[in-house]
Amino acid sequence: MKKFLPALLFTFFAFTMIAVIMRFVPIGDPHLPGYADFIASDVTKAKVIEKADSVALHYARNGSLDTGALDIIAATIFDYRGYDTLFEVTVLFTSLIGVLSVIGTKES
Amino acid sequence: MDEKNRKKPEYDAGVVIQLVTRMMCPFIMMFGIYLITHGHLTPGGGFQGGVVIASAYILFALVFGKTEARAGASGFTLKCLASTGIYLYIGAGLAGIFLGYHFLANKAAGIFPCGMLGELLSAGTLFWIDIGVGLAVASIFTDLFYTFLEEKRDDVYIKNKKELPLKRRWSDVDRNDSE
Repeated sequence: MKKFLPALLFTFFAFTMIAVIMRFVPIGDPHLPGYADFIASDVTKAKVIEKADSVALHYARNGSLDTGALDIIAATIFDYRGYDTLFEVTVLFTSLIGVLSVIGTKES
Repeated sequence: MDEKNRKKPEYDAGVVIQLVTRMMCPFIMMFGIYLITHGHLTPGGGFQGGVVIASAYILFALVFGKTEARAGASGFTLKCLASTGIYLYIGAGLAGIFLGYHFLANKAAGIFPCGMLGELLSAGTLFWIDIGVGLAVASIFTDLFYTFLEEKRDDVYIKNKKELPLKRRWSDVDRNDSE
């Protein structure tokens, strides 16, 4: 039973992740939103870049409308990239735990 | 208070530095709180404000010694605050899930007040996430520095009967002690 449960959990998560990967867009597709800006830069015309529907342009234009934050950087790191910031704080907390486990005293 | 009954500080930095530190610490902390709470309106945010608040604690520990610094911020309190900050972040994310949206859903869920653009309580979860990150970062950096201050490696050398590499570490310096 002890070995069966982790195997079941592993199978479940592996199946879920593979199912998500199957639904990914193909890597290197030039029509992806992130690549559009790169393609338009070949033309070196500002108007073409304006038309391009890139992710960065979307953040710059709709950042405060999407999130309600006036600061575009706060909108990016706390809303669009919320997972990143969450695990940054978790990494900091883990570093504290590591330091305490090596040189921490009993009362601290 | 009687001069004799006063407890002798472990590290006497001098009157000028102590007085300036006493005056500066509240303003440094206030600036950090401003950076945290206005993170979604002005440059700044949880990380920056938290580090500024931690710098006030570090300055206090450098000037007044580690015992007096630990009296105000014990390890238990700091670890509780750090965990509270991270749980605030995760709770703001989970609230979106419980309302039927994705993790860290901000405007779609609409649990927190969104208000007008530019108000203090305006950005929904961003305000509370900022506070959580600020709490966590401030307490984590303070606890890290205090733990490094209290590190005792001298007894290892004494146990092995080796000569100490340094006579004393800088955190143990007592100015009144005449060599």
